[in-house]
Amino acid sequence: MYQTVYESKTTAPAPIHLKPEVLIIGGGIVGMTVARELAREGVQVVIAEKGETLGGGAGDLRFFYDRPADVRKWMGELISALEGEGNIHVLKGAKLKRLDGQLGRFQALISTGDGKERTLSPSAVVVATGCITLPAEAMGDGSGCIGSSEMEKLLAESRDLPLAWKGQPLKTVTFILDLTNDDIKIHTVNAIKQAVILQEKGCRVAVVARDLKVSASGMERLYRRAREKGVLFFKYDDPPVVSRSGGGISVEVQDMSVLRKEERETVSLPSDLLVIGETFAADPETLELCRVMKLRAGADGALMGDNPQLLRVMSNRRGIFLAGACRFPQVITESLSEAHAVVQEVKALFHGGAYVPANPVAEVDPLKCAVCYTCVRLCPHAAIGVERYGERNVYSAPAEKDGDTLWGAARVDTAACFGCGICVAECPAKAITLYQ
Amino acid sequence: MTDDNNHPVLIIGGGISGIVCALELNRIGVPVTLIEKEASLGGLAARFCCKASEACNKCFACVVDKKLKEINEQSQIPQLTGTEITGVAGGPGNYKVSLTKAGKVSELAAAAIVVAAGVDPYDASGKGEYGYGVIKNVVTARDLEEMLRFQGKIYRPSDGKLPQSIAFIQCVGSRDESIGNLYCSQVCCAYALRLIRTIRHKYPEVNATFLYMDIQPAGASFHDFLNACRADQGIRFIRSIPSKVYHSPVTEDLRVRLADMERGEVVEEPFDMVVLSVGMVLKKETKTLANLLGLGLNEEGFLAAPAPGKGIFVTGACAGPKDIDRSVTQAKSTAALVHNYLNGR
Repeated sequence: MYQTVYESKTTAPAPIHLKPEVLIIGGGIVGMTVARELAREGVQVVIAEKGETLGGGAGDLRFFYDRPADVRKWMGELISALEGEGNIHVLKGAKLKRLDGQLGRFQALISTGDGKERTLSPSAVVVATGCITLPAEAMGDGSGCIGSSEMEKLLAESRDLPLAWKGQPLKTVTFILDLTNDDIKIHTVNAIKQAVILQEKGCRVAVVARDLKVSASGMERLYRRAREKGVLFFKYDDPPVVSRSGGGISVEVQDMSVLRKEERETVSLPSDLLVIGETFAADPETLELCRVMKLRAGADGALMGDNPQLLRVMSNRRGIFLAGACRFPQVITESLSEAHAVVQEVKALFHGGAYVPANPVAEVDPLKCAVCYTCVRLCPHAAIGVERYGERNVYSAPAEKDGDTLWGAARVDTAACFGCGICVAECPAKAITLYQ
Repeated sequence: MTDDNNHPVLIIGGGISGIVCALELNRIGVPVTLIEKEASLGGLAARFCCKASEACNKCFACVVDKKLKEINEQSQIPQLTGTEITGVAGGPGNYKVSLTKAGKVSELAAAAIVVAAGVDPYDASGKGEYGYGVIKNVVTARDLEEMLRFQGKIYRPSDGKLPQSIAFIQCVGSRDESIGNLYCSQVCCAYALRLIRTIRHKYPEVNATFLYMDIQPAGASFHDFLNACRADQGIRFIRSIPSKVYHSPVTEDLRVRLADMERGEVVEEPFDMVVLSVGMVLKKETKTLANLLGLGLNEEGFLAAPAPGKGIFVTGACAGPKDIDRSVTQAKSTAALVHNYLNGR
């Protein structure tokens, strides 16, 4: 029933040759994993990392929740595997300033820390820029209160030593969760993981949360282990009150395990140290990157978000993929699953060495085009530009190229077109047709 | 490893994970054969309904239909439906798999095996206190999905009338040590809330009560979705898992016994219908398959990751509870890993 809107065409669009070169923006675990896997496939990879070191956001972690391995060691191995790989080139202090072109012939202008600029021409681009963490508002002036990543460091540094905070022995720790990011489970996972370690080291630990987000493999068991070890859990509907008096911190929370209201008491949790998860937020630099790359960001700044039509790792532009925390912050295994899914997408794209559109493709009749830019503005896939290539049309002034007279007209890039038909419907001059 | 043979990769299970894995391997030129024990592909997720309200609620049910269409109409991937695996011999790189279809036995050589055997919804009759299978108006969320998908409406099984008040009981078969399921099924909070939003959109007069332990988020757009649910006057959130469902044999109306923290007492609330948000369990027959393939179970009772180098891969919900979105992502990543393995890595 849909076929009627397509015109058929005898000449198929020319295949677009894809040389195996990929630009990866972001050198965190996702970017590095994609790079390693693609390099092993013989793809030439450039990683553009904005900082001076590889590792990214997961560099704050020291312990996995689901296995005894050391995160730093694991990451160190990943970084050295990358360094020994001839197909990978890492640019540090790098920033993508421009991205022109389309699938198969992108032109990326990148500035690096040494003040130089260089132009790359990758066939595909992977965005793995991660997110940023901001100190939680509830931390106040920060006295006696740290973020989750600082607790991670504290635990790593006192592996075989007694627990101490600012020279004082650490006896009681309270975690307050879900003040922000109630849709992200990382803090619940980290808090329960850290609580178990703290309690094992003789510390009294309480976790105060709105919802205990145990929807990750093995988390229900870890949660039970924490309770068996004596970690106290309180769930709140209204955020707990934190009071600071006489140098001590106290967290007041309703004990909702008691049914009868008259018997229900406010429990006061004296705490040597408060742990409040940092807020995960979209990186403003990633939002700038979106503008440069013409990618879609949701209201909260997450790239693409959940898109049932494009699934997780594809973007609104063909040949640009994304994975990891720039889309949504998740536990490591989940982000790595996305990284491998991107690897699969790139492998599939490069398979056969050329791209031939499988979907219908829009084409502008330059004689009818009024160069009104309606289609250029509306195309969700940044597939349309205006070029001076047409035959004479009534609207446009001619330009000279190589002695030939050329007229301006919109042109749809066949590689970038998804065949959605929006431009066909919106073109005031009815100059655009979908061809199968 | 594929230099001397061109055996296909055998994919066991034609649900969303198996389909996506087959399509993805096919895209990179790896021959595959898909085996499904039922008469047609689709699996569990193909019976889910669209859970949009005013807008799409990102349940991904339509993705299953799309992928089914792709494999059936746009690919030449061999599908062996109605087929079961009865034996596995050989070793990495060259497995010899015995297949049975309607009593006929055949053998297939496979370069690698991907297990995407899927899961079953938890059998809610195991929680006798909720009366599933005994009380007519107690249904599972899966029953409700099928009602919406295949009949386009909801109704009380006892009298066919539209229920005015529905209770959704969460964590049925999940996070429950008494039945040996000490894990969160990860998908039920999101699917139950999406069903509630769909029903509230379709029937604004129907009120829903969501009875839960902890709300488990699902995906990048969950925050806004949950806020919309909380702002809806027709949805009550009560943090309490009920202890019992009673029914009147005459009217088939229900009473649910629960601890109401707002009122500070145990109450029995009347409802027209109760929906049990059932979790995921490994299929019984998958355990037989695991034995044939030498696969172990993890402590949550799902298939453990096989040792690397065996040429056997496990993907989808049979490796641990997953929604459609995560199953698709994992199936894609599994395809990349299978390809690595075939290239000797």
